Amino acid sequence: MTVNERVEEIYQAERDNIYSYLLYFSVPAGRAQELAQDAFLKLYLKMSKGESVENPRAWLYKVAHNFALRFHQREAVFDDLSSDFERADRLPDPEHAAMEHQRKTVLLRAIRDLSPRQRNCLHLRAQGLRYREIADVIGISTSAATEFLRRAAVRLKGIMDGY
Amino acid sequence: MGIEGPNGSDSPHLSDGQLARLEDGELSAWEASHLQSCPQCGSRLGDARARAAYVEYRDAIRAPLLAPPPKPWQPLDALIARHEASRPRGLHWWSVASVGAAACLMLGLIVTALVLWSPRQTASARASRLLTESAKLALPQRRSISIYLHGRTLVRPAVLATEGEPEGDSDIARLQMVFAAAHYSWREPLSARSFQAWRSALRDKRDSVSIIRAQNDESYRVRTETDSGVLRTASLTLRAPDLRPVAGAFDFEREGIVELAEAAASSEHASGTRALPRRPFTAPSRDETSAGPEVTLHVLAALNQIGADVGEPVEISEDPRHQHVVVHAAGVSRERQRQIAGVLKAVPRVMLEFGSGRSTLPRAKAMPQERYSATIPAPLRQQLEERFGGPSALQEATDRILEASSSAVAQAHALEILARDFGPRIEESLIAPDREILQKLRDNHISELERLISRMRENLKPVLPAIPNGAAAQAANGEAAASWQTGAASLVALARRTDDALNRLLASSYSQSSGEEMLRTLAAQIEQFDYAIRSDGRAGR
Repeated sequence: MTVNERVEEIYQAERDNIYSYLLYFSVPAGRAQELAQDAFLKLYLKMSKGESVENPRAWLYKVAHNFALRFHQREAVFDDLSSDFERADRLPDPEHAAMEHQRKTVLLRAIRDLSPRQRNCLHLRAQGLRYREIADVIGISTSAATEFLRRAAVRLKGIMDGY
Repeated sequence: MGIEGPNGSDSPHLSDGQLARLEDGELSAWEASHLQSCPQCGSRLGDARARAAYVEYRDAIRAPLLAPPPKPWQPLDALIARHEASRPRGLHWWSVASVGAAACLMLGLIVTALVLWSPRQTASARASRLLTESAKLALPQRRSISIYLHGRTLVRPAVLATEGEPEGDSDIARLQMVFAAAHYSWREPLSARSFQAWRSALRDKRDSVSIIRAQNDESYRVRTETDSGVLRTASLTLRAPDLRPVAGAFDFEREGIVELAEAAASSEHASGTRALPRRPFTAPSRDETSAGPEVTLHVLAALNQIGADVGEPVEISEDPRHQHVVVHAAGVSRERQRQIAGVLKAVPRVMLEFGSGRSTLPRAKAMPQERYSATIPAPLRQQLEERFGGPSALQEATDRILEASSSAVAQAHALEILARDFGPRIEESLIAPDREILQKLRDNHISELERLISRMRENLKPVLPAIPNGAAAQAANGEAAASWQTGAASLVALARRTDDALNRLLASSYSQSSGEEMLRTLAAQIEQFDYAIRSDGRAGR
């Protein structure tokens, strides 16, 4: 498989995920799409030079993460729920039973109560990244990533128990 | 009985499958008991549950709120081709296949293919092909061109009725003669056909083709140099989408540079040449003086408006002829490029370079580097959590502290650059309004540093021991900096030292007693940093 084919395969599989990741940082959609495309171009250029990329998915998230930080100049908040929360909370949900709706509300609140960093780690974990890859993407130590995830799990468990 | 391992092998821990079965209440008593007593399996279960909860949140709640991609995704080959087209230098063998493939996919973008089709294609061949294709283009009949000459702007039809009709304006009449001497068509100077005719007749020539990117526009510049004739260098700029000639520059021996550009569309124009009010000549003329520090100052002030002078990969330098200030921003987003170009538009003598490479200048940390971990000794962690009001409060405070500290390093670095570029002598040589700009910039940095240190102190208040009044001044031996410029360098050092101390406290492994000692040292350092900021602020007033 050539580099081009390999990157093309990853591009097809991951571009929506990388795009979404940038949206979580409140990067506007048009810009997020451009940046997502740029991330894959960077991957292609890197691999074309013969440089090895151990886990291209993790690498792409790292690039996207840096793009998001640059976009916001100084700090970027992951999944800032302040604006969307109310909208989501009021989403009509006629298709689901009241219990399910209640569960969703509790889940949303539980996620909202996590810190942005915890949400970020959890998001990457849910995308299948390993602890050290998450740490590398965000630019923190592996132990810090582990701690964020541990705390997130403890919080979620406490809130979600019973639902 | 052994516990089934993740890969079917024996393992002292529960497998993923067994953990999943827990959710269905299908674990055996032995497995459930193991789960109770094994922290590792308990942690894995917590991780799996958190992941599952998050996935549910992501897919069922959050995803419907995310905007879909506004445009169709570009094929990867097209992205690669576009990147290659933006490279100003020659081709690499490895790029050819991609470019070729992209050209096939992007049938509409014949232009790209023309420029980059073959690795063996020399600059001359590319120039010829571009000019030949451009010459085929049917241009509007009522087209006008502007001529920038000796500080004047003149407008005339792009194509004159006849070649030899003498012009009334003396400058233009002379120019007409110079074009004739160079065997370059005066009748239609801004044309690929005319350029090609002149170029083809040259015995020796050196061609180059470059790709120019400005804002959202791309164009190709064909440039030909020769040692023969009176026209030594000529360039023609062709708009990328259709190869329409939009600008030209002609460097005549003993005449200087004459610039042509397609004039804005006008309903009619006179048959001859008419003069417009004088406008600044954008090309570097030979009698220009050095750009001077005030240009750099205005650039910094403009960048400061959008916060691009702090913690961003923006370098400011002068061009080799010291006539322009070059603002080089490597690796900034296009949106940021637009913002930077926007604020610098009003500053004269500025050249913008937006590269993708890594900045070569040392830069302050631009982004917060969160590095805290679970290695804080348990008693100290407990102490910190109690004082902050719980684990989450500690975490949030730590976030804020490290971010403020990181920003302070970037801010101090920006102040240092200002101090380095505008030493006391240069500051003195500035005119009063520029001195005010410099002072305002400096004050902005100082105020921001004051805000950040105050934020750090506020957040650290629950854990920092009190420092006696005047201790910092004593530590600094009561010495005030001779000028704000000299104080700026020590501010950077203090900012870095404080940042290191904070990261050490929250990231490293250490003993309880070391942690307590670090807290005491940190308090003194913050005090000293605060004192230095205030001292530097006073020195500049």
